[in-house]
Amino acid sequence: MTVEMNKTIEVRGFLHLDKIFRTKFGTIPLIHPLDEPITGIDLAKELGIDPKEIEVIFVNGFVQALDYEIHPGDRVAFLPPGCPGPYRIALGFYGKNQDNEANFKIVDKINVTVRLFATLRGNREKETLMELPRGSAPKDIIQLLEIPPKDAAIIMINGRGASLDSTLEDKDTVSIFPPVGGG
Amino acid sequence: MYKFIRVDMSSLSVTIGEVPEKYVGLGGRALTSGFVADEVKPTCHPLGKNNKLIFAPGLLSGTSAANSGRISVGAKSPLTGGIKESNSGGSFAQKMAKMGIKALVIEGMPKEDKFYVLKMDGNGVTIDEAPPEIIGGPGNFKAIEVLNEKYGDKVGIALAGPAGEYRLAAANISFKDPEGHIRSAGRGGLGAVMGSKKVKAIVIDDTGAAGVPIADPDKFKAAAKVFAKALLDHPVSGQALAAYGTNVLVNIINEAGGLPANNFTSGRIEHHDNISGETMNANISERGGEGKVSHGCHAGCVIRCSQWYPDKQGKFITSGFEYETIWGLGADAGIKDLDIIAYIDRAMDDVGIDSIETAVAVATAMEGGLLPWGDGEAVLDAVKQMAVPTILGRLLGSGTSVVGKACGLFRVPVVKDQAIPAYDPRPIKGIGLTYATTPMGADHTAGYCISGNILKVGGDIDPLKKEGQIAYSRAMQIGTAAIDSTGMCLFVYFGIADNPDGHQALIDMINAQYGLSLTSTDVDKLGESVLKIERAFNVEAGFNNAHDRLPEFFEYEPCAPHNSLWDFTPEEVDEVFNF
Repeated sequence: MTVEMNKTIEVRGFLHLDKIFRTKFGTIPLIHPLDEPITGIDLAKELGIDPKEIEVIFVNGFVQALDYEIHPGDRVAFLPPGCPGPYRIALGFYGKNQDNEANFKIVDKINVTVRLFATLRGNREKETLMELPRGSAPKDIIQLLEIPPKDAAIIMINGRGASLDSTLEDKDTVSIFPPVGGG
Repeated sequence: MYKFIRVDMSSLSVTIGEVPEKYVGLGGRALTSGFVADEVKPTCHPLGKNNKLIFAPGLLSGTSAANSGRISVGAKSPLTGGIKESNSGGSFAQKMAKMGIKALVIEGMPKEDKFYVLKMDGNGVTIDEAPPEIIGGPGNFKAIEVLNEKYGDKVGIALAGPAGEYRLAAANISFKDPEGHIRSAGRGGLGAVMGSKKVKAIVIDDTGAAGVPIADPDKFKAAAKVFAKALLDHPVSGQALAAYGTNVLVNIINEAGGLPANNFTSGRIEHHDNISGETMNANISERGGEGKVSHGCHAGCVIRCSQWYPDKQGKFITSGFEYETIWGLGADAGIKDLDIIAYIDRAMDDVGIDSIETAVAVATAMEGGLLPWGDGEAVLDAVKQMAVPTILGRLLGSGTSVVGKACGLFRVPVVKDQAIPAYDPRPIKGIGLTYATTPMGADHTAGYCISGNILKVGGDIDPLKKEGQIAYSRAMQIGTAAIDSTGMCLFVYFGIADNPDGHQALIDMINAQYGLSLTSTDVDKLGESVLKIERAFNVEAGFNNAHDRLPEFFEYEPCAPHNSLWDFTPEEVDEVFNF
């Protein structure tokens, strides 16, 4: 008797990834085609999720580190840092996490207001509050917002001229303009 | 000087005295359990005149320490028959502490069938007759309205709801939060003890209170800053709990295969999306109006895991809408509509009944054929019946064990007659050990915190395996007993477990406030001593190792999807308390 190999995986995202999944893929769970085994990190990248945002993954109901291999037919979930309670220990987060690059660390965060102008608005919010790791720069913002560097021609921080590499501080306002002309 | 207040309901008299020497260094659970063990006859009937009810703020309550406003309540439990400490948010603890009240004890029992309100203010304590319009059925929301009107908007209030008046074994004590909504000392039926002593409400007015004295204010301020930062920096306490509430756990525990469904017959549901924290957040955000994604249950909370959940028109339904309640009604009892669950949550707040006990009792009742599976409207009606009370109301309000017995079931998920909460012990074994061994009866918050380095005990835990679980449960229970004595919300755990600076800051604050030099070891020892005192009381009350067991069905009914069984031997379980 032959068994049809299930060439898909079932994928869920939790916490803020839940909303991202719904917006991006329209549905939870996502049924994703998979022919060959793939690591959690590579799957995350394939789906457009920053592995640094994931604390652990679930594979078939078990907590695993991000480099765990996922196979066709598996049930997968991505979990950002945030699981409360003793379950972090009880479910084995710490045990799985120690050498993983995406291991939860206490990350210093800053909050910046990002303003986009003219053609950069497109299908993006014209003003958003973004939370970023300390040490971030405007180049990190445009990467997150998928703005090509050539389109981010003018950068201002708190009203003063800045560059893509300027270090941001908490409560900064970053304004990004496309190449503009006129006169 | 700190005061120790005793109200004797037999003679309707009040004694305000000095704090007995042995209680001077204690607060919260350490104080309530110490007192109950000292003064309550372990073989007394919990609803009789010899039980005593004690309210105590924590060691740090009333200070500027973040998240320090928990009130502990203790007595012999009418639900478990053992010692009980139950704690709550709201404004009560801070007011007591600012007024220098170390503890309030209610003892004895009036002869007449009349209810009273205890009023505490700068002049002392008076025993007033309870306004008739809040007795015999009106709920807690109405009672808060009436008492606010009578005593002033800013007072703190503790209430025995209708369930407490009728001495239902799962009755809670409800506390007013800063916005006038309700928090609960939920588990173990302490509302019934309050009702048995004919105390309908305790009102506290801290106008003119001196505030909490701090021995070294500069040191305290510095430590408090480090502590608050540790909480805010951690993604759990700093972000996830604020955004999704405790209900963030539905998807996580469901994925792990440990979400008890249909009266603990499986560990995963299909409709997790309907009831998840992510969905709750989306509903609140979309509906706007009176909805709030995040708010704190007491002044000084930086975690703000609570929320205001609105209906589709944006009108407030309920607050403090917790994972346990939503799991219980949504997964264990199979109700798929989050809005109906919210109305039931509100009804439980109003009637003053433990939402965990009731949710599990309801699921047990469903298996027993008393209610249709997954029928939210029927459950809402049944909860309201507790305010009458009808026979069904009395039955459900008496807890899961009683329902199980009345329906002739073997699948009754309780330990020491208290309902098992939202994590199945078969695929999450460490939790099972805590359920079995804590003196509190099945209680998920009894083993919540580790006080030291988690990697030592928790580094390699596999939830389906036995290795490391005994040490884990023991360490968590000890750590939790210590935290419960400080007045801290358990969720500060994250600032402590993952961040050694946070842990040290907590100890520094206690030292700075009281002029002590406690070390981490002292804190552990405090936790250990609390557990030993509680266990000793239970032994005197008639408990032995045979009560530290999970229901038999967990041993032979596998829990899907992992199909695991509870396989700890009695000897292994007994190891937890071997310290």
